[in-house]
Amino acid sequence: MKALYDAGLDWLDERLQVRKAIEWASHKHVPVHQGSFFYYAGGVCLFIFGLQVFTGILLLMYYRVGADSSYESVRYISSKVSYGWLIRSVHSWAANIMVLFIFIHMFSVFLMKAFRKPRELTWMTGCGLLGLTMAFGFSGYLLPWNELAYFATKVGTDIIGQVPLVGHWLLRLVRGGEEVTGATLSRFFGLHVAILPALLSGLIGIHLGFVQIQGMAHVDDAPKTMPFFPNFMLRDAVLWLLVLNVIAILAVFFPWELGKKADALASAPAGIKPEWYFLAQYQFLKVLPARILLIPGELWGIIVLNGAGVLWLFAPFWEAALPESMKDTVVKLVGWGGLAGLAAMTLWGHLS
Amino acid sequence: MTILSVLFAAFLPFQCHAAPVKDQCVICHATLGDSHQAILKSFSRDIHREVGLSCSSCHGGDSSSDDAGQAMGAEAGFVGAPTRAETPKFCGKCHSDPSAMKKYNPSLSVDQEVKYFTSVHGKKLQAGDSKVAVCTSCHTSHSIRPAKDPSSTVYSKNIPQTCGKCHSDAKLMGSYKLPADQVAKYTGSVHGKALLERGDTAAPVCNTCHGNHGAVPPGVENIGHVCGMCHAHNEEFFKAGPMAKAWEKRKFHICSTCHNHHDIQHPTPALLSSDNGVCRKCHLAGSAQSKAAGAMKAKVDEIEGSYKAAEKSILTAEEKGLDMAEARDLWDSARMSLFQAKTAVHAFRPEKVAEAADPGIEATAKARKSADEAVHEFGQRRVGLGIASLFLTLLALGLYLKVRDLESGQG
Repeated sequence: MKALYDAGLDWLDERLQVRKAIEWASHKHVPVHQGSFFYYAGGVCLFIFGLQVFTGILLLMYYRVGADSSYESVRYISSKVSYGWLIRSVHSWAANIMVLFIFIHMFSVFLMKAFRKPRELTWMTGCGLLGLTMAFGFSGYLLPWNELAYFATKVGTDIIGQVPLVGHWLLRLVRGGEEVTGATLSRFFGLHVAILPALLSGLIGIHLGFVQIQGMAHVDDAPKTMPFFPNFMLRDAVLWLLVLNVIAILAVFFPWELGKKADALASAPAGIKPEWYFLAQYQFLKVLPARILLIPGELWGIIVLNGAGVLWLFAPFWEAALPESMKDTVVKLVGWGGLAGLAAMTLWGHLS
Repeated sequence: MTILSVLFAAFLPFQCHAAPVKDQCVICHATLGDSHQAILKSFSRDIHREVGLSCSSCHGGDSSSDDAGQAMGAEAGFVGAPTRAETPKFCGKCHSDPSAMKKYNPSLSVDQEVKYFTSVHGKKLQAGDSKVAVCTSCHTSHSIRPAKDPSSTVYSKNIPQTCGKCHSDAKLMGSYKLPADQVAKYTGSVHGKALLERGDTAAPVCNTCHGNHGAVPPGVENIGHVCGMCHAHNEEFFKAGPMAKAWEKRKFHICSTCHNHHDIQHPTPALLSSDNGVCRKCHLAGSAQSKAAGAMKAKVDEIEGSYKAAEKSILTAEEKGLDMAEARDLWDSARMSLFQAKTAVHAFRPEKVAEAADPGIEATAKARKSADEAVHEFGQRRVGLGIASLFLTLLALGLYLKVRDLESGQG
């Protein structure tokens, strides 16, 4: 068996210099400490992205975009296509778990201060990946063209319309008109299956490239390390298998519901809410007073949310400018405070 | 007391409406005791008051004069309160005058008075019987609300009670040799339950069948047409069927002979039972007609049974989160067949019932099969998941052991 493995490796090495790549990967080390578990979160995101590409391509074989066909084709996938229900449910559940792991990855990087020089660009590309993944979630949510998706998209795009000066223009751009219609569906479909996958793949490549060039943070000051290849890779694979297992269990026991077809003339279902990863922002905008200092409360909300996003994106720069004695405290406060704030607003939104 | 009464009159709610600011009728009658004040209070919510009419609009007189003799004098056109016999014409002064009604409610018909005198009530009134219902018996004198207003005495849900004021009075009805149990029977009927328990205001109520202003009991010859206003296909089947002539010959009421009238119950296939169904009222056990009834019952039972079984299977599948849209569509089409089969019973031909029921029975069989297969597949999903999950867990465990082995070798 080993002889066969070596022969295969030799064959590849003669053509692709595979041994050099393995040699290079085995020199890369990952710190081992109490928080090492969080190093696997990024790998899980990458694995789920692969899973999403795979299941997404399978769904594309039957999905037919259009106000008259989207809902019907998703219904067909769920009820008629062999294992269609499984592929659709895995795609939907995996999307949610991917966003969850991106949040875990991002907050762990922030709290471990792994964003500091020279990893500023890695951090910023990571923030970009979060934004693109959320855009993936938002655009994909509409594609079944069901009642919940329709009204959630209507509410979500209404918020875009509140942006000063360019809000209305942006709203028309996103919706393809004044209202959420088949034109919006076509746009979201194009975004979901062509534009976002291209952008996300490219940005993942850049993000991983930066990680490879810079290596893992805190390798030099860690009491112990492990080789990236094969130790960390194999451990990564164990977690991927466990995550896949969890997604399969969720898909079988909690198949993703389709609900009623979207109807623009129907009244919005009671208690309509966005997906959980938009719930904190939604709740924040919802609880603001109608007007603050004569300016609409929603506009204030958008300014605050965008301001927080910009601060988060540029964290490596403003944190570096802080006095040395304050740095750790501020990172802890912002990191844990942000996490607690998001969790509390999400919970509030869920319960209200 | 007088001062208080004047103050009471001044603050009556209808002082806010568009009526003349100084209405001497109100000011004086508010000082005349509780019964007068009660009338004023009732009238404050009356539709006539809301459209700007006042006491003198109906009763005549001069509402601007504080001299009782002058205000209620013949010269001022005062007519006072009408007797019961005078009431239809009293109300008809405006309600039978199209040009008067155009000013207030152009969509309201002006034939109430004419119709009233065609009714049993009207005819008896003309014959000198003043105990019969007149306009105010149903609409009240001073608390009149439009029929669409839920607080109106003639709002559909209130009609049984309004008609029942007289028609449930055994003593009064006894004097006309009429039963007094119609409202009680109606309340327990399929129509009464729909209206009074489920709040379905589309359900028929007393005036739907008897008419309102022209209220008469439907005669033998037109009771079928009365029921047929809603149950059109039943009437059509019946009239085209073999029973119509026999019914006519024997002067049977075409619907109520089997279904009764005020206490109509939800029809079940048991009505067709060859042992104790309604058909046995005329047809002997073992007769061809009785056998035909049995055959129709069997077919209706079959579609009802398969319909319920399919629903149970669909619900079981839906509870598991399975998509049952297609099965639901089939089930809905079977529902239509079930209605059609029950309607086709009125043709009294088993083949007509089978013709309506068979597509539904086929649809329910397909729906049930689809739902049962989905539930079975759901069970298989769990088995498949168990196998896949075991495989993934073993693979993860193998990899983990490999890492442990590798790391122990690395020291």
